[in-house]
Amino acid sequence: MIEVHELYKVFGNNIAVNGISFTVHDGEIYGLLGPNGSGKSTTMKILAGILKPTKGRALIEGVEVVKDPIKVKEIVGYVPETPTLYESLTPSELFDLVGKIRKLPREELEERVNYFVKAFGVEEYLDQFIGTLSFGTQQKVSLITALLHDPKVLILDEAMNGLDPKSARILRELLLEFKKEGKSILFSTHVLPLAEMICDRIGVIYQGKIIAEGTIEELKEKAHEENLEDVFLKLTESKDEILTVVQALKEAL
Amino acid sequence: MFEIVRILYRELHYQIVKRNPLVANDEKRFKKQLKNALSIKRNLALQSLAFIFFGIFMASGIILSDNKIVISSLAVSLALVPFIFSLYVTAVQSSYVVSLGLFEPLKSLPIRVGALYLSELLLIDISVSLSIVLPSAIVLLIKFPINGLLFLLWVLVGILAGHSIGLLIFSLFGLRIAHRKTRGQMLKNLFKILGLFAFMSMFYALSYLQEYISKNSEKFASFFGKYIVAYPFSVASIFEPSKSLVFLTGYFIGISILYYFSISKVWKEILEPKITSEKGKAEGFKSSFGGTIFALTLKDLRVIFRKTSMLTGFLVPIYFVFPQLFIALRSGNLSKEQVFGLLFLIGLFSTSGADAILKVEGKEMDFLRTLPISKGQFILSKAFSMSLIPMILASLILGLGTYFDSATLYLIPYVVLLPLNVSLLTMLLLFRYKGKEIGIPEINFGEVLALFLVNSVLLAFIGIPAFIINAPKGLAISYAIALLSLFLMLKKIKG
Repeated sequence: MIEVHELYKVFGNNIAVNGISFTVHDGEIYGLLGPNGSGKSTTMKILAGILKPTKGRALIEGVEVVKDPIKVKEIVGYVPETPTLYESLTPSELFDLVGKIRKLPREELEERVNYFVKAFGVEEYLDQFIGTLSFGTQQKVSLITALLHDPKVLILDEAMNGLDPKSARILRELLLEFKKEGKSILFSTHVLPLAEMICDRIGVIYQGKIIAEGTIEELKEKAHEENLEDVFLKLTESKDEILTVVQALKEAL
Repeated sequence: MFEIVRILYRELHYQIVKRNPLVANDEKRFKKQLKNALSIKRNLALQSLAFIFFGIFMASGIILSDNKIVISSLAVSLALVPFIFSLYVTAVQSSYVVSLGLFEPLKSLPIRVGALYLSELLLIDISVSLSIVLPSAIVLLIKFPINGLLFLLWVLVGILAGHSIGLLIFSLFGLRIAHRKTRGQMLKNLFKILGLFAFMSMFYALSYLQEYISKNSEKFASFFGKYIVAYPFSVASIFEPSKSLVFLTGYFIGISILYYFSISKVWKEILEPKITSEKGKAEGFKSSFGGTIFALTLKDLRVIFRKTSMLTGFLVPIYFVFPQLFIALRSGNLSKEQVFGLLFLIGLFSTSGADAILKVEGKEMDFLRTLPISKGQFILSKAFSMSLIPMILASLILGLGTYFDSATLYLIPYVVLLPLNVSLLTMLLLFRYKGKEIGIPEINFGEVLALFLVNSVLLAFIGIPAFIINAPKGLAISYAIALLSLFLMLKKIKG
């Protein structure tokens, strides 16, 4: 379970996260949606134990993120929006490194790597240097490193970025499977139909604050809109702005 | 053009400060550090300050002496410093700068030789080394104006030489990407290291060539007989201005050609790194043995050996050990006492590997931070990675010494103890920040000098008993001190 209470993160004069609170229960996929720069990635980095919050509390499976970030990293599988992997290592070497750091028994590590590389079609790239792989393949490698230790909590920051349709579908099915196993999944994406498809609940974050939260049906009802995209645009005050911009563009052209 | 360099400089130093845990978690300190780091003038002034004290100390020899032979030999030693500094900064820093992705936005712009920006960027950092020689140059200019000017010109040529060789090393060894890991990789890496070493030793090769010419040609013997052509020994010619000017012009022309060639090659390789593709079928994943620290150390070594230009940082000890080894071997012997001195020299110069080992992670640090790695594990892995190459060098010297005198084998514990002590102390001092998170502390050249001083004191504590008390008692005490300090440092890391 992920519990977030009045979390703040300030960078200089910029309040990136402005007192947000939410909970992701066991066996739940929680979608964190928001426009660029709304504080999604910062929130996720705090929950993954990478960034320290300025104020507030966050607990992963009951472990305080600020007090024991190492324990949190043992529990969490985190996929950043852009993979920053060692370009001069091969995926095999990287998986081995991650397996050793996560203290996975050799047999279990081999079994899990072989399972995921097969699932995501990375087998033929195992001995190639990561720097020579396409963005999509690097993203798959990044995903596999996050899944190796069978994490109880998954934090996926736009994890579908760059994935081909087949791999995206596999990941989607895997997430649903993980949900059945009781894992807590925090998921951010700009692909709203995808969020609509897999998320149990959604939190809309805007200017560092959660401005709406609930199931998709609840959000539609609250915003009096037919689909999630319209809900999102209405809540983030973008709908009118889009119409104005499109109108201006039409006139200019 | 300078505007682009200024932007790149700011970006580079922003990235460095951002990943420095000493300041990144302290907002006040972060802002202050950023203010200093992002301003070229301020940063240069602060770094030069550390060097200038060292420079004044070195200038005292020239102030106190009027003997031209003494002054010219002092000039030779002084001129070596900016040359090595320039070579080292270029070879190691270029790899780091490119791995941070600083040049990615420039790739799509219509720029003919973008590596000029890289060169200028590096020269800004390299220029700091001038403050080591500047006090001596000023004294020389006052005492002997023409000779002083020649000395300054030699230093500038030395900097350009180090920079050009560094660029060439980077273009040849730092940018090529192999497509696939193959079985022959180890052998290839070994050849790359030998090639790298050959580049670094090219001036020694020149002195051999000179010796050969002097012996075989009477016509040139008088010209080459008096001075050694190889830099930095050629700097000794400053008191014969006409000859010195001939050497200097020759060097300048040669190095300018090398610079032009290297800079074009670097940009070509940055734009499109040569990918050497080998045929091969991927083998299934097989896990290896070892724990977290071993895995992290192995990762460091893999990265360093694959980005061979980074190895330059570890080969610096060779530059200082080689002349002494060369002199000793010329006499046909390598005594136990000489090996003792060389092992301590290697131990001390292990310090120079700290900068390179902390540059293994650029953007990749963000990935490591997602993993459950404790600060202690990270420090230990960095210390082990840093000490491994000096240990190999030390064991080679010990092997050679044992060939001449079997009693040298008694020094074997030093092969491990000295580099490890220096590496652990260096890492403990660099990672002195509070907090448990991992990060990459910023290391500037003033700090490297300070580390050299602290490590000299540590080595003196270890070495003095062996020096003043007869063997085996002296050696036993020395080893005990080394083991005790290792134990204390390991305890501190674990605690």
